[in-house]
Amino acid sequence: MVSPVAAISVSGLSKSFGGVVAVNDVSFAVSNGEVVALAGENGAGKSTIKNLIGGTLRPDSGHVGFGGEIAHAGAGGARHSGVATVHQETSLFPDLTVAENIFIGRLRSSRAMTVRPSALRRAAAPILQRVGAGFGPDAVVRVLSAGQRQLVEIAKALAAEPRAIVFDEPTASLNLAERELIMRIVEQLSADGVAVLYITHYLEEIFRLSRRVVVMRDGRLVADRPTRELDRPTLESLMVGRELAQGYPELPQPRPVNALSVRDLGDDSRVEGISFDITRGEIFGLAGLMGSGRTEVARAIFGLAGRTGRIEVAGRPLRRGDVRASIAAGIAFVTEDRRDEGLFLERPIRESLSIVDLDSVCRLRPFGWLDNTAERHLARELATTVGLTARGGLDAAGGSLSGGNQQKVVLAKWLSRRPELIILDEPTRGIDVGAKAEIYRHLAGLARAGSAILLISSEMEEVLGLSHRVGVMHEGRLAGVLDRSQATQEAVIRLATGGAR
Amino acid sequence: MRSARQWSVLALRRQPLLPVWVVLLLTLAGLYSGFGTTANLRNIAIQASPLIIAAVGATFVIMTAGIDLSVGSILFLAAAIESSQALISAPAGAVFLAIAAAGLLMGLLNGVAVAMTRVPALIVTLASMQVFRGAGGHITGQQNIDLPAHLRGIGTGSLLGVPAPVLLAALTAIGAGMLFSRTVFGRYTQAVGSNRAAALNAGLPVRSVTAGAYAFAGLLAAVASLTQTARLGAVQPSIGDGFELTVITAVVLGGTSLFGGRGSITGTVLGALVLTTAQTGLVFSGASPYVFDIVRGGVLLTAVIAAGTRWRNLAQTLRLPGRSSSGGGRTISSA
Repeated sequence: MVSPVAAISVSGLSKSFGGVVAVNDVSFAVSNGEVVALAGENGAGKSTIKNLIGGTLRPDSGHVGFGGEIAHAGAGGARHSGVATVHQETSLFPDLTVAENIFIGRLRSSRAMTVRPSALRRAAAPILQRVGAGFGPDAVVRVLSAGQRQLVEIAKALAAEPRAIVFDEPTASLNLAERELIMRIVEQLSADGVAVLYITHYLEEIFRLSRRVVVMRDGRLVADRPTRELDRPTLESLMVGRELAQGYPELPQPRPVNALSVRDLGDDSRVEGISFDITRGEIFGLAGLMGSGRTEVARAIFGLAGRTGRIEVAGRPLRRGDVRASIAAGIAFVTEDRRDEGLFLERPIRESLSIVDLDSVCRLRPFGWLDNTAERHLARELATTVGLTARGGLDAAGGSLSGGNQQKVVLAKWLSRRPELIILDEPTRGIDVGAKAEIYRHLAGLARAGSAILLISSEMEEVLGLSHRVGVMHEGRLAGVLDRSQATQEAVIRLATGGAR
Repeated sequence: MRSARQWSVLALRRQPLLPVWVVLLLTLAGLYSGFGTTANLRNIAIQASPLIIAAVGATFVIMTAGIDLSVGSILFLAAAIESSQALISAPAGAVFLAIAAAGLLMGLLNGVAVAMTRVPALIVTLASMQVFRGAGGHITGQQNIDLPAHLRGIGTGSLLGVPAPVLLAALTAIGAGMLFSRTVFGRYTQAVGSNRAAALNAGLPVRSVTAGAYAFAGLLAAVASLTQTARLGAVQPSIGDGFELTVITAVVLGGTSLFGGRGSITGTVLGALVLTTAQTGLVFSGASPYVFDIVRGGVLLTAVIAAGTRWRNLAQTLRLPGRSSSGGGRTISSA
């Protein structure tokens, strides 16, 4: 099953950063034509493995071999050995053309130190064809979509004609169609005899693509098994290290009182004609392809974007384009991009928690004099509510938290106000299975306490599992609203892709 | 005993500049016999006062991830207004109030422009720096104007043996320190600089806070102007020239991040003291005044590089042998 000489072999690899062990004695191999999935929670050490194989990090002990040779140090060494890496965040230059990006490290195309655009173009065309790109080598990267950029990234890796490729979460920011395209490319590469190491959060992709799964936890290898021997629960428990509470929490009964009523909402650019209601205690899922306008709806309701149409919260009309009025009316907004839009990374966690409700911990209101004890108390209370795990305490910097705990902070900061409506945009993106289950539990609990919840998510299962009703967006309009009984994956996809209901 | 030691270790980690300043003082006192005298130390404190006052204000601006290049020009225009016909013979209290109001207004102008437009603070204050200096020159006619005695008290007087400028700087630093760390405005200032998008999402009054920070910086620049001119006894055309560079250097040296979100008033005060001490040291060494420009530039670059070094990582690396074994234990226990 495994050919005698592995394309990538990792043996006894260890690496620590400042005393924290990131990778501990890990060994595995990937043969030619084989797809091996690397699975694990955030912080399990997957990225460190990727960087060790790619040569951007040097191991403390152990070694990485390619086709039986020991790798030379440095990224150049890995490339020389025929291994390419496709990164999660594309490392492209937006103002250069596709062809220039593909050959960025080897732009010199004539004997003199000059670049010949025609030569680059000729060389790039067949590679673009190979990845099924619908754009030419002269396109400027800035105008490409996230999915198209990922294709350029793959083309860049292929240009070196590698014997092995490491994919790091290549589909993380892509929509369904683009995801499908990437997976076809991986299958084709494997059929061509290229060894593929595929790092992903998405279990469906693991089961579809890989022949073997390597599971890491806390820097150690905990399983290296053929994929067909595993099922979903087994794989999850291997990743998390314990049995997960099965499925989604039980949903409470919604109350027959409208919390949010949206009529004919538009933002003058991306979305128009959106109307729906959410009652107290109801979780309303908003599904749709990336770019269909889900986030725009959320931002317009919260007042971050200009809008047309009418919005009522608990029966009272909402002022447009005024975040402070929205907050005063009882709306909370958990943003999609928690690091860049939700958290004060270099400030103490405590400050990120108390910032929304700072007025409540003031003495001498007009002067805004802070009561430190009251603030600490508030922060502790909120942290306990969401079960925050902060090893360094609440005075440690926000950036020191894991993704799941950062998300808990961004949710928790709103809870002291008992919000009427909570809008969550991709609340579980990039966080691990254990933290996801906790977030789900909190959402059900908040609904039970009477809050209305607007849940935006690209993870179909999550929307279907958590929502009382699902609204589906298509090209800036609400294509339809499905009851829990009607909301199947097929029905949602049909609406999301413009099919009739 | 142990707790006192721990406390001082903690204090050192927070203010690494304190030992730097002490070493600098001791070295200079060892090198030059006249340096360690009470009179000279008192002189350093007086000299540092306007810088401390202005730099404390600038700390608020830099905390919002902004910059104010117009500090020196505000200082000059405030001095020019003070020396104008309308004010020079007015009672001291009225003059001080008028100058403070003028500084506040100039800062507010900066702040509103920065908060309401998408023009970067660097450009806004580069423009106002020229406008304010030009206006000041227009008022004074580029002449030396002597100040009457009643306006000099704030620079030359003293209370219980403490020179007035020093007293004023201390009060400013303490007041601003409390505003910074103990009030909603201070917290919002830090939040806006740390993550503007998150501040908007949390419904903070981002524009008012930004404008407020610049206005406060303008107010303190005017106060610095009052002490500076009173000490010199005259308004000179060159006053405040290049002052913005010293102010920004003091703030950055004090550990405030130019990208906002991180910093402290104590750090800024120490930064100003270190710079002034170094400047006085250069005078003692007999070096030309231009050497201070070289030193100041070097200090700025060094401070920024040092701020980029991850001190905690460095400390951990030094302790690596002891730590790595316990790290290994952790990975096993959580399995």
